[in-house]
Amino acid sequence: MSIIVRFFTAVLFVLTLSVCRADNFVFTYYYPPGGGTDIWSAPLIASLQDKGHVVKQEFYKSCYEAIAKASAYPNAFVVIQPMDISQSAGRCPSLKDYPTFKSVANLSAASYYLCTSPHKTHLALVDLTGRETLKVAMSSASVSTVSFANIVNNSSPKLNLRAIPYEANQSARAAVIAGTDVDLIYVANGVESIVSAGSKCLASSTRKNYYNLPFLGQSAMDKVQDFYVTIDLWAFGTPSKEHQNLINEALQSKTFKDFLAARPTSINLGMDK
Amino acid sequence: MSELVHLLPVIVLGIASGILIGVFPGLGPASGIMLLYPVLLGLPVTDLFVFYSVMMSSVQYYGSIPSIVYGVAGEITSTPAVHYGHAEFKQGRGAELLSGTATSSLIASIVGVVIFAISAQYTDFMKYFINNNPRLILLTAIIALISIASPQKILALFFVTVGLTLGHVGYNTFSQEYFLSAPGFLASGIPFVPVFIGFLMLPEIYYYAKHKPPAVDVYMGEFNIKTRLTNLFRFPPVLSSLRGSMIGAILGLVPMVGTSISSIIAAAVEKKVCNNNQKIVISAEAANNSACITVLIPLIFLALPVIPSESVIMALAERNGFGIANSFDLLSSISTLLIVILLMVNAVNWILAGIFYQGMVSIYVHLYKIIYPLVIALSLAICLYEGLTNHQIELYLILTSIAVTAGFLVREFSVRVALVFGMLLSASFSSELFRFVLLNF
Repeated sequence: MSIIVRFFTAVLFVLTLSVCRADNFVFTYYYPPGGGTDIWSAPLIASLQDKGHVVKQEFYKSCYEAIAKASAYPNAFVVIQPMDISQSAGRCPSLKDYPTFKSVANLSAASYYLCTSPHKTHLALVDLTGRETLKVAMSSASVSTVSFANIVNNSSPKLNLRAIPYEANQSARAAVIAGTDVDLIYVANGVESIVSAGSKCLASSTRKNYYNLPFLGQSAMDKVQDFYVTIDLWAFGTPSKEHQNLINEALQSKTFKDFLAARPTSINLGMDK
Repeated sequence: MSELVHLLPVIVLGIASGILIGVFPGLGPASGIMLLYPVLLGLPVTDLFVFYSVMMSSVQYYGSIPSIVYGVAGEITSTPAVHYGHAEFKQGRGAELLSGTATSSLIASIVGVVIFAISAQYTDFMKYFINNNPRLILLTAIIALISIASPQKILALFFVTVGLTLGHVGYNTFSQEYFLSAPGFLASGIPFVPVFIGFLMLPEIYYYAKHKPPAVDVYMGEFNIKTRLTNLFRFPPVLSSLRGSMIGAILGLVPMVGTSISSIIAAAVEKKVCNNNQKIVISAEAANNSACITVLIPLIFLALPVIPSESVIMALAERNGFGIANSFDLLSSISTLLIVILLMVNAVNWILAGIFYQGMVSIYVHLYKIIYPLVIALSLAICLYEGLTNHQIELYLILTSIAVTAGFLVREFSVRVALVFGMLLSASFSSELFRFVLLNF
């Protein structure tokens, strides 16, 4: 048996294996697990799974890879932050190269919150402009970076804060809850888990927010706009009617609504397009 | 119970992989995981770690069989088994020794599991490593040890530095800039699969494919289950097993060198204590097995790979949602289950390796002609599959060709490991270093 025959046998074997793991839905991400895209797609995934569908999540290091994977399968969708496409330095500029990529559903919009670590609950708003530089954990997502920089740069008196970037929102949350490196966290998702771990939230990136906190940019109201982050589900081309219907049904399901009820800091959820 | 039933296919896959990887020298756990890449990609993180733990624990039972019978060392861990075990085998004491090493491995696994269980109770101490400075120290230690552990230290240091640089290629989330890449071109960095397969795995497999097992015609004992059961239950030197287990359990926690040197150190200690070939092999094999369980502690607790195979499984686990931020959640949900599974699997392996070793030898003798070429073909197919599914087939083909050529040029395995490990640790190391500067200056 020649090496060529063996090679093609192996190719056949690998392709068979890949067919065997066909899932109903594949959601691809270009942010690490535990971040906003992961958290906000969770209610949809839970309700799809509740209806007996198999959903596979795949996390990639770049938007390009997530798109490539999603465009390879008709049942694959990319979970994105729409701002990533519009910004010049966004994480997902390559999406512009795919005009047939379009939004299938809007999963969420939420405010950012500035919360203390559970060990630093004595901190108050006034301390943000104090002499001591406070260290703020945040995910390195371009959306939060832009929002944070906008607030800090336009604030008067100047906020004495130093951003400490983490790979993912979840690592930033772990650092603020379990670690001792940082004083505060600037976060838009998983806020409930931080509060339940003993953190105290001081301000928000929006004037209207769930905890009725002061606007973080209040000292420069005219320069700082309300800042929300949104998460969408995008597909390559038009998804099949079957997939679109299943997603729409899942967004209206009780499981989805129950899931969201546990996350009151999110707004504008489940708005299908 | 339902969880165990759900995990049964993964457990069976882990044992089967462990048998093949152990029986065929040179395959190694990292290559084994890579060969199952398309299957493992679909597994949730819990299943992935169960598979890995089962496979790692199984490999040790079967890895000693070709070493003792044929004197062929698949990895550096098999050196004592080759040196002392094969000599015993040639004296006609192979059957006894194979049963004895199986029992000592079982004792070692119990020691390893106990240490794992105790560690799972002290997660607060482990959480200290969520902080930047201790994590940076650990990562630096791993990188330094990669070079120190190699026989060609300077070359390994150079290659680990090259690996750290190559791992930096792609979009940087901190600087939001592309390093030696652009949108659509290496934006995610240099793909791991062609580098691992081409640079690390194929040259090693090729080497073993060229070497056929030496003809061995030595009496291995009667094929009589009763006799073998008696051999199995005849208590092995308990003190030797325990000494080896403790050495392995502690050294398993030492990044990069733990699993590879534990058996050698255990053998050296045993030689000093009693200078008996059987006891030396039994102690060395016990050290191997307990190290393979304690090595799971940094991986599952801190999302920190400390041996090459862990870096491969970590790459898969990260893709499926695992990281330092949720490692403790995962640990609390699977630690009890994992302990139960490890104990059960070790009992199964004890019986399989301790009684049916002749079957394992037959697998090696009859399949070695097919298995190595098949592994080479399968590895290339996996590169092709990854390239196709990522819409980067040209890139994958070019990278695989470059990696294979470079892999054959760099003869020393540990030097090649240095480059691959450097690439894998690059992102973590640079982000911890970046945060270190921000936090301390």
